[in-house]
Amino acid sequence: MTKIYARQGDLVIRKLDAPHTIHLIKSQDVVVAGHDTSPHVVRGVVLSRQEGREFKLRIVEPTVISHQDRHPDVALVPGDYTLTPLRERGNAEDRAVED
Amino acid sequence: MLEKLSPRQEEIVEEVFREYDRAPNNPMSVDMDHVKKTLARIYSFWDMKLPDKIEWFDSPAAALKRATEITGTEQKEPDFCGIADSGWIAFYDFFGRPGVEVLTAEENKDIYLLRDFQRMVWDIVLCDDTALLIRYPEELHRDSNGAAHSATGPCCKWKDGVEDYAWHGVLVDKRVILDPKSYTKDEYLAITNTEERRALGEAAGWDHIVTMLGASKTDGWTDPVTKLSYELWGNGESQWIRKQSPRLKTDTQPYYFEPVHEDLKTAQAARKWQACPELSVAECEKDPVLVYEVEA
Repeated sequence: MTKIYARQGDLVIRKLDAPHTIHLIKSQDVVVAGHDTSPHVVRGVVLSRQEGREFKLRIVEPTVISHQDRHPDVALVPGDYTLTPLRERGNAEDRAVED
Repeated sequence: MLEKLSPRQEEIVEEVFREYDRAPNNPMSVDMDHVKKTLARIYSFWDMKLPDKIEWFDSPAAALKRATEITGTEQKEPDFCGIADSGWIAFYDFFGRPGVEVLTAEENKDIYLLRDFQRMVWDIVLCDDTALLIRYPEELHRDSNGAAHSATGPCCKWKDGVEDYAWHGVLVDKRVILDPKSYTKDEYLAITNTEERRALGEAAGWDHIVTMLGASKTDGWTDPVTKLSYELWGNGESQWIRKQSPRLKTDTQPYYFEPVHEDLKTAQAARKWQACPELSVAECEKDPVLVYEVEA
């Protein structure tokens, strides 16, 4: 069995047991997915870094990921997270689903 | 030698990225002295002088048509010196930034020349005796990755009326964007460019395409906790997951159709396969159980 913290639409949100080891950058109201069409936004000041399809996040104060159009907010308690899009299949290859 | 970026240098990478990402939608005012200086430098690489004739065009199509007239042979592409090719400029620009300083201003002078040129001129088609310059479009629409994209109209609208259509960076016929469901099955299967076919599928919606392709349901599963339903559909070659959304802010629960791996056997495994890119098809089939604390 696999347990994952949350899914908001096509965005998978994993809460990590151990902190990220890479350097994270302080940002505010970070758009983590769906930038052009339907953004998923982590509210407030966080530490983050995007690497390929993964968005690495550190939450210091409780906050939410909000979605502009459709999906309810998902609460984020302090800790480290990795956010990734769902994958789909295309041309015999895997790729990210986009909102 | 720079072997590892410091935390500040990592931040500079992000700053440079954001600056270059903004640029295509925020052109600079044209400074003809700078434009001519840059063009002269480009021509000098071929030991040529800047021609007396410099002509402006409102779209790449117009510039290429003129280049065809001048050269007598069909010109299909610009010279790829414009903003769409600024990635490598950004690379060298980064290494000259304060705080990085691997390259000096002198070493980077041509980079800075072209960087600002690209923010004034969309692209160029250089002929021996005439330099053809393309103005920025009236409208430019892009997706989250910066690729040309619009789901509702042209991704680029040029001042001379020319319109380009693109789906996540793939140039497509305008029908794909404006009337994707008008394609027949034969027309869909006749599209040989796999990226265009994917664009059409996404633009029309996989639901529509699946029906059109004659796909049928092969498996179904309902989450015992959330009561959301999942179905696996296939036509012998490809497969899709049809899944019910958790309740949205609009109080609706639409269905989504998304292509999944052709070797999946069950809807439950397909759901897990989508969420767990680290797992293979076989691993998802062996243990298809996936539990979220929250699904929104």
